[in-house]
Amino acid sequence: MDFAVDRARPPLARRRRLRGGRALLVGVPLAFLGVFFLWPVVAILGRGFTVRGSLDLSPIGDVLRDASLRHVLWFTIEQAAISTLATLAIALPATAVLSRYRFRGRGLLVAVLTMPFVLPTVVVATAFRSLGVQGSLGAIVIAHTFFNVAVVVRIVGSTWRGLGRAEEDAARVLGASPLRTFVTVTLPALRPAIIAAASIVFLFCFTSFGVILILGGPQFATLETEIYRQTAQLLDLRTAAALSVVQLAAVVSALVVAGTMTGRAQRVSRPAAPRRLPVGRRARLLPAAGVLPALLLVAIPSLDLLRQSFADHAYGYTHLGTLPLGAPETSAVALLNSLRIAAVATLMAVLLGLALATAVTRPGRGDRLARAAQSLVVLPLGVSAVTVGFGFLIVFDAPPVDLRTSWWIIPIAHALVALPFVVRATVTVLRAIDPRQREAAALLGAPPWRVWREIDLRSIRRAAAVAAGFAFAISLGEFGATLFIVRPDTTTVPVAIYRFLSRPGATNVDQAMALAAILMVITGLVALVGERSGRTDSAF
Amino acid sequence: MLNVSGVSVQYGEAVALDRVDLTVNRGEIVAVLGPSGSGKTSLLRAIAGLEPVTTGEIVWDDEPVTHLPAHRRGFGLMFQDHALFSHHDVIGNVEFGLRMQDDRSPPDRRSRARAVLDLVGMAGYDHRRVDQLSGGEQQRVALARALAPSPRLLMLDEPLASVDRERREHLAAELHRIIRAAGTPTLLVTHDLDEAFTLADVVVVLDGGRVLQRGPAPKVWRAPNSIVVARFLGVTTKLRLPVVAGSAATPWGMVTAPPNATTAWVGFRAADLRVDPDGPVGGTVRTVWFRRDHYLVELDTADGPMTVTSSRPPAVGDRVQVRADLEAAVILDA
Repeated sequence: MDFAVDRARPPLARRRRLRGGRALLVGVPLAFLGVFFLWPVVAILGRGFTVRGSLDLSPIGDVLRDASLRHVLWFTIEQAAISTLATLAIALPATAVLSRYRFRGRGLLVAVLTMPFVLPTVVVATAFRSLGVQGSLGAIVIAHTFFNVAVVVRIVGSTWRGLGRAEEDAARVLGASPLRTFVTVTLPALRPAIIAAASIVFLFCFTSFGVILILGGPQFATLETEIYRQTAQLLDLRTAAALSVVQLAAVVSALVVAGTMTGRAQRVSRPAAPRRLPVGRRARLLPAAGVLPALLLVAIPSLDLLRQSFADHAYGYTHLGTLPLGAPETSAVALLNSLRIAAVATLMAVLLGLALATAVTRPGRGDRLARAAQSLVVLPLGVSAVTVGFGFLIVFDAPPVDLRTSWWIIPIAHALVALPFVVRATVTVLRAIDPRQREAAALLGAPPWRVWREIDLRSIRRAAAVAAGFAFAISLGEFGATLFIVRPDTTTVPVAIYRFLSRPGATNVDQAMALAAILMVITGLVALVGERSGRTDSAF
Repeated sequence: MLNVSGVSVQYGEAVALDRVDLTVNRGEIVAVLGPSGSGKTSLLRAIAGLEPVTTGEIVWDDEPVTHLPAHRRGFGLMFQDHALFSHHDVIGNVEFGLRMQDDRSPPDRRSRARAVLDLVGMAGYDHRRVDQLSGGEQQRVALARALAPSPRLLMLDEPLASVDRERREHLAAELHRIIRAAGTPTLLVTHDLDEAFTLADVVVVLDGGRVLQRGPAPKVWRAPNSIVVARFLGVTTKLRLPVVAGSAATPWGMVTAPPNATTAWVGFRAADLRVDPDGPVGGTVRTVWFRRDHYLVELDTADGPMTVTSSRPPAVGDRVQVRADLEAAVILDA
């Protein structure tokens, strides 16, 4: 057999083995997803499409006929579109500089620009509010841009850095100017990545909840906040379900676009080495100007939140344990809750995620099962937290699975939100393992589980640690789903911040600021540590 | 000893191996020689347990291993690209197989690994990172890793393919010494004639998934059993001659034809035909190739085209005379 041909084909022997373990590896996570994700989604669809057990499209029709709800839908699309364009405008120049040049502090700059992605929405909204940016479309757009610069830097950046320089050099030698080269060679190669990034940014802005709720105020409602209002304030579950169906449809179409484009934005095998920055102060002006807007946008609100929390609102820190949040809880209790929930959610997400990633990357009986599992896993990534929360609310409040009063419902929801990130981060690493390494280990006498421990686990340890940090940060900051299912004794920090902010009085603002600053520092540290230790672009 | 009988490997419709028989005896080095796509890597993978066989039996001594998973066969394999574990240093790679054997203590493992590293000439490299080694050094570590757990059978996939040309000859000799010193029966697959005939006691020629010829290396080299094998083994000049009374008349003298043949196929390797003013056959020079220590000359003669060697370069169009080493001729039934 020709060697090159052999390499392309997954060895048959490995397909035959591992069947029992495989079933368990796929089965447990799939069961988890089935119960805690598919079932709630199906329940929402059921409520949206049926009236008293028979198919009826009238709830959806009612929603689409209602002028104020139509306005909500329109505003959701409008703010997401504007936010996406603003994000691209700010992030693309920075991405260009970060992926073309190497310079001291580049890694730190990437970490700083990508850190906002894990920051809790509630914290960021608080930060912008303290800057006086609130109650307008502009405030919403700026906050969304703050978050999503990270998405563009990661997705477009990894493709950009992977681009071979040879094509650009060829164009230059053939007589194209640098600008012409960029337009005719570089940009077309980047287009799939840019579209993929844009559709994910759009998706995140479309399903944004905390930012809209806190910065938008009552006059700026999107589908997400409207679902919450209909459920929590108007108790109109029927309309909420119908809105969720509209929401799901929009989300799935955006995901499809992103998925197709991500598939096309494959990296080139041998990337060009980044160049040094041009020498001379004037020549460096352009790269600096490319990064600066993004850097300022990210740095100002974060630093100002810290400054203000200590300067004007220091009262909050000293009274974490005394000021009642809702008798008898205090902020200190919420902090403790959040940490405990995050620990459990992280454990669940990492264990389930590793099992799924292993199952998906071991070529098995028909790769169809693996593919199905993987696409099922990334679904919760797009389906909004509010949908998850709403789904939990309508499914798990009655037998057969009554989790209404259970502490576990919150870590489960958080694990569900974090799971896709864990799978994405670890699958990339597992895919990159040369199958010959596993074969070599087997030939040296390692049984299958030992091969997994010696080869897979070793390569994945870092990615798993990064993913765990990420999951921890996600859980700490999760707001949308939690708000639906939270109970007085399970109040988390983001929920507490929201409660304090919606009450009048300076001491409440102090408390919110202190909690937001604490949460920001914890999640920021987790993200920075992850970025430094893992040095992967795997989460995105 | 290893006994492979009637082994076939299929990928869907494509047949990679077609009822292959093969034996590796104790202390023997067997080379499976074949061009790209001949099925040699499939054969190696099937024996290693990395590829399921469609039909046939693989037996070690009296123990059938056909359906035994790779990790329980006790065979060692040195991969062509080495597949060293980049997350382990040199000694970590060599100790890996020893760690899989539960009955060895850590000091025992360390001393065994050191002994094997010493055998392959890599003593003192214990804590070097494997990705910082040269190709030849990686090859030695890969060999040490395969030998360390004392495999019943050692398999090598194109062992010298990733070593640069100048070092190949030296490494081939080294490899031969190491395998002999280890005393492990060895099966190697290669497309490289030098590799096969310098390392192996027994050569098996494989093509299209079938065994064409097997035998002691010198015998296979001297007497290919078919025209296909002869061509593959470097026979470039061939004459088709009528057989009269069991003999065929070459320009350089009579040779004995195969029994019952009416036409003999007589082949020569370039090294066995030399330009010589006293040679009985004349030809016109068509092309001349420089080959470091000699020149390769293509001629047109009355007996057809010939590829011969010359110590000095003739000019294209010259008439030259050719002498043959008749002893080295490959004679087959045409």
